[in-house]
Amino acid sequence: MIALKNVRKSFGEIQAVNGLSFEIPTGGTFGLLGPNGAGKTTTIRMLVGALTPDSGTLEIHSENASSISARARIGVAPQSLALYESLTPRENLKFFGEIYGLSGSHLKERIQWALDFSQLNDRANSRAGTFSGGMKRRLNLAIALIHDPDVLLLDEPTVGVDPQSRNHIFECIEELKSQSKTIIYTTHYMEEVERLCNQVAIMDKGKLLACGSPEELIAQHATAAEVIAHVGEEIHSVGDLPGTVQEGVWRFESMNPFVELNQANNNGIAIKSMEMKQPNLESVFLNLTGRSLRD
Amino acid sequence: MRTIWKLAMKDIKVLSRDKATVFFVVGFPLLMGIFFGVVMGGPDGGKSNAMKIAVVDEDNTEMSNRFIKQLDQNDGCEVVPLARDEAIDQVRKGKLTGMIAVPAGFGESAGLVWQSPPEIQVGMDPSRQAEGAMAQGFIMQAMGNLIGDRMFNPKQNRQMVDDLRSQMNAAQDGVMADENFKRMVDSMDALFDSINELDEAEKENEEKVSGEQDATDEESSDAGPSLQFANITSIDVTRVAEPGSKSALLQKVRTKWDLTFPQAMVWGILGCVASFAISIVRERIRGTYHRLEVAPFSKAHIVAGKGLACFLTVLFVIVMLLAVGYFLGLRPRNPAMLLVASVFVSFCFVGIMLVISVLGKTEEIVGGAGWGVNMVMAMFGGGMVPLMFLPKSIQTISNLSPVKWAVLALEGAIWRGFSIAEMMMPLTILFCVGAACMLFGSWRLNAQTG
Repeated sequence: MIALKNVRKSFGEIQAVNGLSFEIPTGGTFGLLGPNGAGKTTTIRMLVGALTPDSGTLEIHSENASSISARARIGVAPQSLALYESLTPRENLKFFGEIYGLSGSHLKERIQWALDFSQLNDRANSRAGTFSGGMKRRLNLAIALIHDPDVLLLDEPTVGVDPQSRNHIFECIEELKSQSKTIIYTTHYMEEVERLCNQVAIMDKGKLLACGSPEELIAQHATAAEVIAHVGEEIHSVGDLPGTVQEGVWRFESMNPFVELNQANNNGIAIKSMEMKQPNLESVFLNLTGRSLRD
Repeated sequence: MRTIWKLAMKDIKVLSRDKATVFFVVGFPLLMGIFFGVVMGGPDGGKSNAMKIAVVDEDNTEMSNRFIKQLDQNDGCEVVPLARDEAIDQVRKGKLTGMIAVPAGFGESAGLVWQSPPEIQVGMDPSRQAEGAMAQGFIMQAMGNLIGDRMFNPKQNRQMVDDLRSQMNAAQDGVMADENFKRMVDSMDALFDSINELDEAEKENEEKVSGEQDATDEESSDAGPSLQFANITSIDVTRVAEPGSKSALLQKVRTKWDLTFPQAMVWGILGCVASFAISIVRERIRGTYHRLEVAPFSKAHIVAGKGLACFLTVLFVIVMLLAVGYFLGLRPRNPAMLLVASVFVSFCFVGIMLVISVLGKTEEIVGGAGWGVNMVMAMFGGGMVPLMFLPKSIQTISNLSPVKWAVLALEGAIWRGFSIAEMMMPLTILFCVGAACMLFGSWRLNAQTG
């Protein structure tokens, strides 16, 4: 289990993380969401021992996250492609495997496994600098896995990647989930979180705003559903019902839209066609963090 | 230690695949060392101060060849074999001091004192009268040696006497038929027989002493002692330079490579410094540094790995340039001291590399700052112009440049002949600068990376 208790970190006058506390159970996929400047990267850097918190504790399987033994159990796939472009995938994997203490036949087995996992066998001896963005992302992930870590930290692993590579990465993560690895996933793409994560935490301004499964968050922080109903150009008003009618289109928001639709039908307003947007994680996110642009 | 070694080997592998880095670390210093050595000229162990004279051999006989060889063996004369027209052209253009032409027929009478002297044609640059007189002296010396060859050559003498007797028997009047001439030839015959007997007696005596004779050396069997008109010995009038002066230092320089290769080594070292400093920033920007931070070892390992890679590369550059210099004629006076100097120089510049790596947060800033610092250190430290040729005021300022102490340490072991006591100062300064820079650079890098 990964546990954060009242963690704080500031850089000068900027309080990047302000009393953050949450737990990540073993074997789950945990999504960490937040707008730019929310404190996600700072939290992740403290989790992997690259930054020391000003106060509070971060523990991985009851060990201090900054300890050598804890770091040996973590694999990191950073957002920026952290690989040596003048080395081949095999050389990259060999180097990182060796610094994690692997050697001999075990290292060779892990290198082969990583190449198979990332489907880079055909280019194992080509320099990484010649790869496409998708291939580099796959290698980035493979390097994080070379030493078979218990905890995997994926920081926006699908940025700048073509759909095929993106889909392959999703499949890889789902396979890792099935191996009971604990995965911490950060992204700006809500559909990825909804597909992959068991638990989601939403941060802003260094604080935790909400934490739970996607369904729980939607249920707890759901906004009204948005309905767009085509009623015909002869209809200019819906009376006491909510929303507005313009050019034969009735738009309204409701927590229970079927009540309003039924009422309209009873009032003789025929619904010719309808489109309904249910609340989702993105709407929860925007609802909690606001719609204004962040620097 | 294993982790540090792995990190270092990775850095060396990564840098070795960057063509620009390889050029600035290996290629550029080689070019600098060889180019400036060639430009400098100077002491190269050869006849660089000898008078260059074209020699035209139009006789092509054994005697003309011996004559030319005698000229070439003279330290003051460097023979350049040319055709007549080309020789005249070269002298007229000022490329050669003069020319000596040996016309056809030279060999018939060369070395025979009772015959008319053979013609030798001399053409000297009119602006070099004194050297013209020297050339005539070289010619007379060479001719004297030929006379000795003739006189003490039994085969040639026998042949000559037989030729004369044939001519005398055929002659009915004139000098050849004169009784006085006949008596002279008889006297010559007797003289040559005596010389031959004396020569053979000397050779038998030498055989008893050495126990061997070189039967294949025709000249030693055919030619006797050379004929010298005076025994010239040398008086030592070499210049006495004031100790510590530039002249005194220059006297220690044996070849031009002594001066240019330590500078070339410094340029290789500065190339390493800039390349490794940039590589640290590159790793931080591209995220690989973050991976290393997360790995199960301390940041000190990361810094140590970089330092070790830089240290080994600097040592490699010094050894590589030394090997090339050795091939060209560079001979370190004290190889053991050179090894010690190389280690201290490498240590110092690893520290400087760490400082440069924290001067900025982008490759462009660190690259620019790095080469800027390198240039200043090189300019004032003897990396461009040898220390001894810098003005006194600049030499004083150069004490602040680590390059000066690096060049001094390397030169001290290569050609200055420093004692251990003399070496202590540059080595101590290099160590202190290196240690201070390492501490500062490591602290600053740690602060920048959180």
